[in-house]
Amino acid sequence: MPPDADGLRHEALVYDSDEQLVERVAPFLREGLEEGPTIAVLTRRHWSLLREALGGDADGVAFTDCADFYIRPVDAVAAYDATMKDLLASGATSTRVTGEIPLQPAYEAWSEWISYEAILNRALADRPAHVLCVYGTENVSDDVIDAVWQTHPHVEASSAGSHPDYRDPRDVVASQAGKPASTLDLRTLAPTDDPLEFRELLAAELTAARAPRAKVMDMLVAASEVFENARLHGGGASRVRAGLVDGWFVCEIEDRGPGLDDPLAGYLPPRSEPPRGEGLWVARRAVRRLELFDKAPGLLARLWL
Amino acid sequence: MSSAEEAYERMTAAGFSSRYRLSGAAVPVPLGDVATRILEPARDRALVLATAAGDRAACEELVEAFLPAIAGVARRYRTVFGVQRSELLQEGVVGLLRAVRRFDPALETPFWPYASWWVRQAMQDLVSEMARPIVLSDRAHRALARVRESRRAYIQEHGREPSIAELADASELGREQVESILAAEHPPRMLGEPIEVDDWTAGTLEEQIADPVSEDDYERVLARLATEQVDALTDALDDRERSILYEHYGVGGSPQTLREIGGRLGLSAERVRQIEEQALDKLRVAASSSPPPRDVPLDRSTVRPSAGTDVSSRLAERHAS
Repeated sequence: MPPDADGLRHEALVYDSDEQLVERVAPFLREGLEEGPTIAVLTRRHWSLLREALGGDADGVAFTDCADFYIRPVDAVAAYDATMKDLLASGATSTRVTGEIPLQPAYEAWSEWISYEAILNRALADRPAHVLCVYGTENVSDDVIDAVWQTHPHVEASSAGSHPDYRDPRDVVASQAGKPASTLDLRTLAPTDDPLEFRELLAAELTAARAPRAKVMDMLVAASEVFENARLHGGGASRVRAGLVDGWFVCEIEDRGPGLDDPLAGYLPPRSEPPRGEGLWVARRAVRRLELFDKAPGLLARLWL
Repeated sequence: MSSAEEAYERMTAAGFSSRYRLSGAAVPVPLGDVATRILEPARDRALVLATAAGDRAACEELVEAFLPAIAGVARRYRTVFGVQRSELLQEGVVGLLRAVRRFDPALETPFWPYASWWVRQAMQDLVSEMARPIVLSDRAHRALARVRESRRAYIQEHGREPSIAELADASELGREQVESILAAEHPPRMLGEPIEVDDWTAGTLEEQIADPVSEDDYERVLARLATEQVDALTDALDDRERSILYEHYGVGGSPQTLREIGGRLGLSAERVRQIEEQALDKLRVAASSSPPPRDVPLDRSTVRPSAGTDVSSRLAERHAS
């Protein structure tokens, strides 16, 4: 199946055995080599099997260990997006990728990768690429397998069965949203509408918490973006709190706005050069975790350094 | 039930090692052969955060603290043929550092139970990759693919297995080469397999293998930790911009006002504010479009080399590694 000339073709293979994986993925990669750059982001074991099947063709495939690649969903989206952009700029007309999310220790950890698969449909929609994600039924729970159908417009499965339909990425991400905001023991900062004063107040908290020097600016940049977002879209920050929670530095910014109107906020890579108006994307990239909670009224943004 | 107990229950339900038990302490404590040195959870997190921030000393302390636990995990693979203990420890360290990069504070899970899962995954990956009868060269991989394809085609055409000579003929390879390639596919011998000499059992294969365990293993793993420096967002700034931001926000010293900084640089407070705004813009762009900071000094040499074109390096450069 050729990739859509104008954009992303995102499909999944649900396989029952290594043989089925190799039987489907090896030809996929071979076809890719005839079209342009071909990338495999898999476990080393699966790549080892595919190398044998591909023979000399394996040398043309760019392999990356999936355990080193799929660390944070937002970074994986950014890496694919930037790589595809570079390849297009260097003359490629399409990119072919096979990807495998590494096994996760618990469903909570899978949840954000389910969201990631949904987000990919929107984030790379305009990139001419053919992405084949592979999932083994032996190792992955039924819930995760069902989500494959919800997040991939095209699914090929080795065994028949009844599965849910493809869903709008916004619905998937909203359905995977975590638990409601718990109350954290943080210090309330003096109220201000001035971004510079806000940064000074937050920097003092970071210093008091002995945050690593290399990370202080990451938090200041991320929090500034959220603070600015609250000013522009949420009627201003109504409360800012910060401090250490079990050794982690946390900053919370609440606003008076309508709350979270787009579950994909901050998950889509910006398309303008230089990036503008993409504050939540910047914030997600700069800190370890950004959580958004509806507060009725208002939005609570929680940043973990 | 305390939050630590709840966390433990969740982890157990999620398949974490059953070797962790509550022992009256507030957190799950590894028992038995796993760890000899347990860090306080707050110390764990401080080390994880500092390691993620690129603090090499913290990284070394973290690895050193968890090496006994990593060695405990490695012990379960001691009977796997073809994989050295030092390789398992290296993979374990890779797994530990992967966990540092992934560890999600919002999950409220103690670090080691979370990290041990990634340590085990890394070792399993190595074992499944390496515990093959023989590691084939690229050329041999290609020849093997050719032999397999020829065999499939022969069976389709003739409805039976080809002989070695027929396979050599069909694949256009020498008979000896085909025999060597097929031998490489034979299953490995079990370590518990008895070794027989003249109808007399001379022990097991495992007993013939020298024990590679030594304290040196730890030293070797530590020595292979990276010396790479962390690429911080602020690498996008020039010296003046970086110094203005650091001085204003008290990074590494006491915070100074824009006027104080301007006085030192011979600039007006307003000009300093403008430079700061420019610097923040650069940081926004860096955070948005560049690869994330190289936040864990992971030595790439501990990860096995892979085939690929420059695309893979581009992909890797675009990503935390």
